[in-house]
Amino acid sequence: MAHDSHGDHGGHHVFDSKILIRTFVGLLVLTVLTVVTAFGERAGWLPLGPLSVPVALGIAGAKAFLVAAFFMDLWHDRGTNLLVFVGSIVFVVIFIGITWLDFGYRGTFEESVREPLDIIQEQQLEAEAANESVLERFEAIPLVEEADPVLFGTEPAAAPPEAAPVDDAAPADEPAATN
Amino acid sequence: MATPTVTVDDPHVAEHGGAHGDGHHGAELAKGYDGNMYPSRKQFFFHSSEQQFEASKLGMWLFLATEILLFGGMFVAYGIFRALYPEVWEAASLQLDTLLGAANTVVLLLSSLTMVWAIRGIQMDNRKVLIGNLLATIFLASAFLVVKYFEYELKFHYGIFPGSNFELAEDTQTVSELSGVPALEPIVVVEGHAGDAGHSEEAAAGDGYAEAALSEEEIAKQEIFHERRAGIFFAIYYMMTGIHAIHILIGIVAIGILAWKAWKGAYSSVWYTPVENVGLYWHIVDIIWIFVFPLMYLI
Repeated sequence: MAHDSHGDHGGHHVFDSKILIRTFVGLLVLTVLTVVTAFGERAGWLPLGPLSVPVALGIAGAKAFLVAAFFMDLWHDRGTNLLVFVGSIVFVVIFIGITWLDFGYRGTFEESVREPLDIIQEQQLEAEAANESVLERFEAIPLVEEADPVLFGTEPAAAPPEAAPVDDAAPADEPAATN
Repeated sequence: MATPTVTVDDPHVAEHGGAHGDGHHGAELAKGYDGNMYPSRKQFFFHSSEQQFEASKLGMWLFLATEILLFGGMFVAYGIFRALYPEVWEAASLQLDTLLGAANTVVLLLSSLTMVWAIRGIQMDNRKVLIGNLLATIFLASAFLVVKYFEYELKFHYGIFPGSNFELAEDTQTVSELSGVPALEPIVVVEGHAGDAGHSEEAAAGDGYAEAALSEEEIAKQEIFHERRAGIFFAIYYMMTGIHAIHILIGIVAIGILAWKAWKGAYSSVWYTPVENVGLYWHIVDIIWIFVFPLMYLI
């Protein structure tokens, strides 16, 4: 019967009552599901953790799909309306996505740019200070002296290796300080 | 196209059409679902009634796209501030009554069903079904607004306002606590809130000022929840639900006009474009609520 008149008056699709009722029941079930999920999460017996938002949004998306497809009849509609609908959603997603890129990474790039100026300079100063304190200790404690009596017989042989690290450290410091 | 259009009184119409320049008042008839002839209301610049219907619907969809983008902006604001202050968001979200929100969701879904059922009615030339379901939709929409009113009322009672006085007194129970669900700390009035000195009409605010000497620890605890950030949540809450409620109001008016015109016999299975378009509008309002509900009340 519906099909006869379908042809008759130029393609207006008459809603199928069964589909409408099923859609509504589906929407009710999803609503109950999302509410129970939320309560379960608050009461603690449903630990979703970081999935909480995606799950809620997923259920909402499923509900929106049901409404758009069967109540708004996009399922049987021509493509143009669907294009407009999906297009608007795409633009909202772009809106959210790019704003998120801004807020999510705000400060990240600034810091990487600022690092050579502030932090590395500070690290250089710290390294210089550390070097100086280490130098004092190198002068005070002759490190090689303990091994000397056993391995080598001569005392003066210990003096050159002691002086060597001091000489090495000093030139290494200077270019860093001048920079 | 295949639509069997019959022209009433052919030569007369030809004259008439030339004189008035519009074919608006149903000179053309077309066979409806029930076999009777109804005015097609086809404008002369459309190829067919079908094309006219689809064009009108596409225009409506373009409008709906702007609606989606309008609410999209608010969703973006919601998302950003949620990402910035997640714990404040979760705490503030518990101030909303989940069950009332869920009840409103069901009411709105049901109203969507009655709306589409009204369209189905007129598609089958059943004017009683059309008018009955339109009135049912108006009733459900009004019920939604009444529930919304009580929600707002409850929040005003707690001292949560769209403006600056969003904080609660310290011992105020949250709605979630009242319904037996463990909740986070209530949002409290913080002392030393400079702007509130002039707004001391609230009892809640008065309680807040009594506690002049707070320990460092208490202040630190309050820092998490109060700030002005919970105010951001409620500002967005009031803005989104408020604009949504305005859409519901506009929908009620539009559906009321539909019901009135339907009662006067304006629509038939041949021409029911306004019913279809208002229906689309109503469903998009429903879809927006479908997203507002979990974001505000659940997570």
